[in-house]
Amino acid sequence: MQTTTTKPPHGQIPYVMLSTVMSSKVLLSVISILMLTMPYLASAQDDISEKSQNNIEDVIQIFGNKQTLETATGSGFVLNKAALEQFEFDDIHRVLQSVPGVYVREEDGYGLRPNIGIRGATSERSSKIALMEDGVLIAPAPYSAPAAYYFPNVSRMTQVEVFKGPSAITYGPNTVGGAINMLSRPVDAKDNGEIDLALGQQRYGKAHAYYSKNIGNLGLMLEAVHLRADGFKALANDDSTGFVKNEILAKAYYEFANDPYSQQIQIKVGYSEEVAHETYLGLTDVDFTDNPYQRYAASQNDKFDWEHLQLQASHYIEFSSDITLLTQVYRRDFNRDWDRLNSFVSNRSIDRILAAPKTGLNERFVRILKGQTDSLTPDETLILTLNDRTFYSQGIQSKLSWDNKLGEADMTVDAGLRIHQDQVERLHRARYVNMLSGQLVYAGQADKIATSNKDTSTAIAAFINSKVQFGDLHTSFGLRLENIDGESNDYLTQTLQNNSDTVMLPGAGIFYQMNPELGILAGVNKGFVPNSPGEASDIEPEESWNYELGLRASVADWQIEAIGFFNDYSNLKGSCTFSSGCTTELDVEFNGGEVHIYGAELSANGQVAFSNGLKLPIKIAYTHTQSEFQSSFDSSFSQWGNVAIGDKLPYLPENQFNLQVSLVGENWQLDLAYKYITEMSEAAGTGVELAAVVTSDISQIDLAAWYAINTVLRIYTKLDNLTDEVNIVSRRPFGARPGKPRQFILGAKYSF
Amino acid sequence: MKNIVETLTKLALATSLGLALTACGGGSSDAMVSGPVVVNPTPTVTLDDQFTLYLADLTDRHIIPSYAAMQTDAQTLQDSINVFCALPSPSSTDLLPLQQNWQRFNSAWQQIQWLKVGAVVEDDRLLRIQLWPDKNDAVSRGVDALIAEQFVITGEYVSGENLGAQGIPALEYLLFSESSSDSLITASNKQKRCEVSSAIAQNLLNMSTDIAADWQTIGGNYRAEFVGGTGDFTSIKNVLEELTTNWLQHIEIVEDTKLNEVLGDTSPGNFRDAEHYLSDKSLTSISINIQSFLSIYTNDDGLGFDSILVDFLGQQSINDELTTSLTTTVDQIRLINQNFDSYEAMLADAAGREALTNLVAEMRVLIDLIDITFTQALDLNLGFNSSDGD
Repeated sequence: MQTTTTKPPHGQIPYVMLSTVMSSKVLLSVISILMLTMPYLASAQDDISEKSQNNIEDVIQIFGNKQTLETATGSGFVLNKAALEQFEFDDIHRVLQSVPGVYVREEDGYGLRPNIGIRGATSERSSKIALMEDGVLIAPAPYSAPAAYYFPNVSRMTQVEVFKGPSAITYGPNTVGGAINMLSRPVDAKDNGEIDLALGQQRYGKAHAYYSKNIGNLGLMLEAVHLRADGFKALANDDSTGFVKNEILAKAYYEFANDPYSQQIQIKVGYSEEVAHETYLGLTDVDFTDNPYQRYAASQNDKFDWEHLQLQASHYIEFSSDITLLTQVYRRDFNRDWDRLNSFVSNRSIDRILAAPKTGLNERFVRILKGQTDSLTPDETLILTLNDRTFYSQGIQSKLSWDNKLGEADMTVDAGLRIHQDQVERLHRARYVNMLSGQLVYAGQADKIATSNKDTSTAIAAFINSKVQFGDLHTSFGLRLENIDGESNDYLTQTLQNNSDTVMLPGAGIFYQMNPELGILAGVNKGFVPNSPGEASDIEPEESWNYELGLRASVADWQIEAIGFFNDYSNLKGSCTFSSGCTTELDVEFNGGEVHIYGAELSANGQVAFSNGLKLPIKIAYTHTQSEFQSSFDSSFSQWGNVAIGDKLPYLPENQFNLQVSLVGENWQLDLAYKYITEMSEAAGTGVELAAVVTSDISQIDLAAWYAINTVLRIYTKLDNLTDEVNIVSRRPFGARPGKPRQFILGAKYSF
Repeated sequence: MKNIVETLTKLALATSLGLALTACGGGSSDAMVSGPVVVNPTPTVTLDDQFTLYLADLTDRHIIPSYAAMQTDAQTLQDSINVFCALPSPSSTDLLPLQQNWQRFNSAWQQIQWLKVGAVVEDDRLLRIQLWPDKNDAVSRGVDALIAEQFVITGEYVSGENLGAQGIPALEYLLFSESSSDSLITASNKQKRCEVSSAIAQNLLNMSTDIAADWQTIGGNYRAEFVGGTGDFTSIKNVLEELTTNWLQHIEIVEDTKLNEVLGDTSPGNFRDAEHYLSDKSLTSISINIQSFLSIYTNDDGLGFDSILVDFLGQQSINDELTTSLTTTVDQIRLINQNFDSYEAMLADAAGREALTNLVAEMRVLIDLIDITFTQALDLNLGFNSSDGD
């Protein structure tokens, strides 16, 4: 656990969708211009007076000046700028591996579409947690379709905050697990910038640059990131299996001079795009053993392509020294097309074929997938699905903070209101192709529309949270209200369905500093995940009561936190998506009934200092988790099946451990990160594919090091997966998939 | 918060574990949590045992006899072609027994057409025996190519050529020609056609022999793998799931491809899409298929799914539903065959179309019963998919 002293960014902006696609060349041009001009711009920085501290950034972070981790009434974790730069991770999965209570399920090896869960909340596409950038929800449609198909580049984040426990109610709508808030780079009060270039195995490349410029009370910041890799899997035709991801972000910050209300305005505009040759098609276990990094020919046309545009404006005002108001207006547009292999015309599913590749006709289907046999019958025709989805998410949110006294106690009251609307419009088409001589060729059938619908949600959310400090006792009590109206329009069935839900979500927590070394915390909150529009009337929202109890200690140079948690679900939901391995009833949700998830989290951070000036920081994180269904039922959800009382949730590791050790010199640092995650079951019950099948234990070491040649130039290197461990990280949706193999990267950072 | 005591207990357990971790630096739940020792009585008979008995009975009563019949009928077919081809001036009367023997062999095949495991799926035998539906005219193209060859066509040669030219449809194309210029009796190249027919029949005989041998103890002993859930299979349950998949998929093929698509929306339907439009024996094949669906379920006089559902699982009502649906379809197709000799004529007849429509409807009921009710009762997963995704 760390506290942060960094000053994160200021606010965000609304935006509109650009009609043109930013190419890699354009982005590289931007980066080049930044590289050429910034030194000259930087030379003028001494002439510009520093502005006062930006208050917007303090409000949008969970842990800021008004709340520190040491006395927080709920458990939390902050990865600050230094921690994020320690291993130069681009993959959010690797970033979060050091956070206790957070579970990830790898998919593509690069974390392009992360699966993050907190305290047992399903990790599937991170759809059960509140994901935010600068305090604003970033899922493409947080209420209508929360699956995180968009995820920002972690390289441009300066802080990642994870909050679990009662204060999670402040960050809805999903409150069962917790919240993750990422802080983008702020407009720095000093003119400065940095250029980061890196190359590595798998033809990895990174070009990252940013620059902050201040002109009077106006601050500007421009940042661009280009990230690419050719992938670590191989197609027979040598086509790329990698990705290219570009992001450009601009911020403008203005502080009104001599304003009695200390008003500040910030505008953020960002555009990002990605093309990834990703597939859902994995391997048979036998082929995985033979060569885990091969890809079958049937996935040769698979491609994921998206664009994202964000526009955000923030306004901060101090009505008095005790009362402040931050208002944010935002709009995000996200457009994604995923063209990929979906199935054979035969109703024999690909996961079934790969699970038993020698059984009956499966052997022939496998040969077709590999391109070794041509499609001969209609059943053997392959279906590519062209899944286009268009999202928007827009709204306005305000947060009023009031610091006052309650007798002798200090009290802070935060109240927030958010009016939000989001939408997803889906158009999925089936395209029929045959495998002929190792190539996919059109089968001569017209495309068929499989899905055409539009889901819209309008939500009004309000919360009030009071924090009171009586000496060594810190308390918090909060209440969240969510009113959600959903509309689902199915163009194929010509049906229109509306649903509405209102829910009150209380939460309370305490922290008591028993002595300077030891404090105790406890909390309870109600967890909630709303239904998506169009769900059947018998599908209930996910609800739980979450409890935590723990100790927080500070001994010598060590900070230790040990927390037990118990999440008592009255109804846990499963969502049927393809990435979850679900091949029927897509986007349908399932009631899982009562479920208990409980466990313990331990984090310990400390440092050993040597007499020669070297330091040895050590960070340890451990999570133990148990889960039990409390009822028996038969479900057609592919991850559950026929569940009996006591069955465990899938993809929830019983134990995960992370150790980070660094050796720090005056101008250099060497880092080692070790993670161990026990096997995870791929299905809860019986009667479904992958019942009783587990993923691999993961035991992996990452290394990183940097050396500062001088005050402005630093070279760094990293070696992910040092021992080149090969693990089956999942067998969903179709077959065994590997994690990223060993990857060496060398980079340099130039600051000015 | 229904059970506060339980809540506090689990939170305490979790917290204790957390605090223990603080003190000990780690540990596993196995060490922390203990409970009463539960000794489960050893079950005398399991569902897997029932499945094994079922598979053994099905293999001995249905599968092996069916493949043996194929081999026998293939030999008869081959012999009759050789006799026919030896005739200096064959007539249509001479051709008739040849066509009947083709029909006998086809009937034997239709009896076991549903099963897609073992030797029948190896070396593409399934498609070589019958490539159907034939959207690309592979059968006519393949056979015509064989006829055009100047050298002597043998069964061995045929086995390496176009899959469409190797099996039952290829022989039907030769034996039930649409025009006299292609007839084995009147065609100018009738000798070559005879030679090709004989080669195809030999190829069918070779494949039938190989398949039958594969199931024999002294042959490939595939029976042992099938009954024991070994070899190609991962478990007994895997065998049952694959078998049920074969069963259900074949019901769907009959319902959809053999019946509904041919029936079409309006009279006279799409007769040329029928399985045997040249010989017009499709109704007979459908009848055999549907009868085989009942046999799979009841295992005739052996241990069937009906017995497992009723006697072992106590699912009388599910068995009643399935039995009713299966016997209804058998009765319907029997009545259809009584009333109509020709599929083509039936498709053009209002009463015939109504009967076919009713049969399709009943088969859809049967499909749903097997896909959902039956598989859940037996805890089977068929791993079917949809055509959509994200």
